Amino acid sequence: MNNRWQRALIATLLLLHITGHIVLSACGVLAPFELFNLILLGANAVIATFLWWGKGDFFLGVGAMFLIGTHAMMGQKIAPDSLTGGTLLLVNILVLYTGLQLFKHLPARYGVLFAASYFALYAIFILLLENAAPLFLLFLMGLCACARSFRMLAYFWTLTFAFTFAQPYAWQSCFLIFLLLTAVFSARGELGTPLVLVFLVLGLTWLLLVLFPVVIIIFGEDAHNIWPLLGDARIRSSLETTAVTATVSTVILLFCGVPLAYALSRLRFKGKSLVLAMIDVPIIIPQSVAGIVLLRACGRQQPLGELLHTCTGLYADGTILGICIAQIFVAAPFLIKSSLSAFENVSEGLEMTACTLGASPWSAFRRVALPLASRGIFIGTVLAWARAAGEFGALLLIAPTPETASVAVWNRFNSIGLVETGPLVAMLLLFSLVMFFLLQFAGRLLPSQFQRTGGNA
Amino acid sequence: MSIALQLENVGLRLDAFQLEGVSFALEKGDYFAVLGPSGCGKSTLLKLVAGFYRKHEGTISFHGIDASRIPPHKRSVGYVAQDSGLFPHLKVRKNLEFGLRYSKTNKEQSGSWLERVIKILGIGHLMERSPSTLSGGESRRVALARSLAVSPGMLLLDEPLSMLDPPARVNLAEMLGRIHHDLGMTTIHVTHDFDEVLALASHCAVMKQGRIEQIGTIPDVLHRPGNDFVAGFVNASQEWRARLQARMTD
Repeated sequence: MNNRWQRALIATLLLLHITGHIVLSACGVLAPFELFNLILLGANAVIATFLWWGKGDFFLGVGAMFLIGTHAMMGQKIAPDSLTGGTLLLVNILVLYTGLQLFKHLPARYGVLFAASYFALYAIFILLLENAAPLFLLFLMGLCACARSFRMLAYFWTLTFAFTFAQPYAWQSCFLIFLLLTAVFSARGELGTPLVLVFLVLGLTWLLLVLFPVVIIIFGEDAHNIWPLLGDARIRSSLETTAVTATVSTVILLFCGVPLAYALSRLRFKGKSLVLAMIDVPIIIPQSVAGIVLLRACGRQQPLGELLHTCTGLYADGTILGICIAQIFVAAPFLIKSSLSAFENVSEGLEMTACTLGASPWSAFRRVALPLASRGIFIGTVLAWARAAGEFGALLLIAPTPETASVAVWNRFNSIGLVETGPLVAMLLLFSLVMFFLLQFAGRLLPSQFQRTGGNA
Repeated sequence: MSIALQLENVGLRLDAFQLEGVSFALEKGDYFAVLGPSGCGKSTLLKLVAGFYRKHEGTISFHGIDASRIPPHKRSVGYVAQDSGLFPHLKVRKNLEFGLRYSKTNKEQSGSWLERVIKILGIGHLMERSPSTLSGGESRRVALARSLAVSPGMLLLDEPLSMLDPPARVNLAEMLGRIHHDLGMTTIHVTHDFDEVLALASHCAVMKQGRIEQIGTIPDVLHRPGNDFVAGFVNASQEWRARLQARMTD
């Protein structure tokens, strides 16, 4: 049973609705016998009856009565037809229901945030963007679905802002911010203090801003125009040249770099730090300088260049040979450094044990050190391949022909223009990314030196 | 009895420290303990015997043959590292079979030998496991079985009982005793804990900063320590027991 005040409120609301219906009909604002209006009136009467006898949730019922009444009075003004009006009413009741449930079952901050979100959506879609009522309804339903969790609300608002304010890069920014949110929400650690979380957010924000241009291209128009490119003979041959030269260079590097890395990881000698520094030299040198250096050494009419010619029958400038030389030069540090750190992480004790079991040094290397370092070597190989395939500056000087993909981008940009280069760039980006991710996952299958080598009880 | 291993005046200079004038001889089937505080050079001594330091002074000989030109993989010494040193990328079975392809005995013989070793050490149920899933005691046993699998002439154990919980420690110590008894393997057991080898070893050497302080049978060293250091070292555990006794009677 409800008390007197509650019954008074119920009766007042119903009477107000009926009076409003009659008065507005008399003024000609409201069609008294339109089905929709009668349904609203009937609905309010039914709710009032239920509430009168204490059935159902009082606050929800009264709120619904108020909403139905106001919609019945002002329906024509906010909605063009009764169907839209009805939807608006239902969504508002849903919002009311969600709000009440939030306040009832969760700490007050959820309800407050929900209400604030409602008004923010109203401000955006009704006040800021005119004629966006259907979108407003859609987003309200989304809000109701997400209101129970702050995380879901964060995703919701990301989506909302991306599609209202971040056009034309809505998808791109949505993708990046979702990545950021997922990372932050799932971040765990013994030292996961707020400070470290702030570091993570700042660092990731910076990283994502850096990657933003890449994401724009990949999710953009350019990516749709890739297929016709493959029919272009010139582009096809440049891709082939890149794949072949980068692979040859990487294989040569593997056979020289991995043994060097192993030796460096197992021996101490005078001048070792100098050797370690020398490995990095190609990273420090500007690409154009590297090109000139290689040209001066291996070009036509240089002693080394002539020697190469007598050995291989090829001059370095303008040939596959030159491309490979430049690629090996720039890619070497990546493979050597990665393999070196991989070998350093393989305990020498394991190889010693292998030797005492009868394995020769070569067997111990092949059966213990190599497999355990394989992940690091693999990652180094991928990096070296990517670096070799992406080399541009030195190639432009030493071997602008045959055209590699990076040089093809440059030539296309110079001869045709920025917009026309877009699809080619999108293709190369996608290709590198797909390969990179595939190889990263393939790398996980290899044994890692970070596995525990047998526990301490 | 024949001399299985002889070290004469062996010395080694490393960056951090040096080993000086190490001499001892083991007969075939001896269980020899090398004792000393950490950093005294006992692990280095094992690696010397295993052949990992090529440039050293003095001579090391196996069965009277100078070993200076024998590389580690031809010395036929089984070496169990302190951290077990199981190959993490191989299953237990593959770990155990690692050395079989290098041994000269035929397949059936080495196979049945391996079965015997597996039985003695009770690791038959672990064969398909990955080393990272083994407990400390289990991985020690597998490592021990792996070095026994190639039927080495000698067993070198680097702190085989350290970092184990007490039951696993007792269990492994018993197994070491049984292996020595059943297989008659010449064994060098390196440790910093005198209690550990009391029941196992026949002889021991106490080391300090790269030198052997005293060498002799266990009762000899225990009851007639040659100097204060040795006395302190071997009596430390007894002293603890005495203090504990005193506290409990209080």
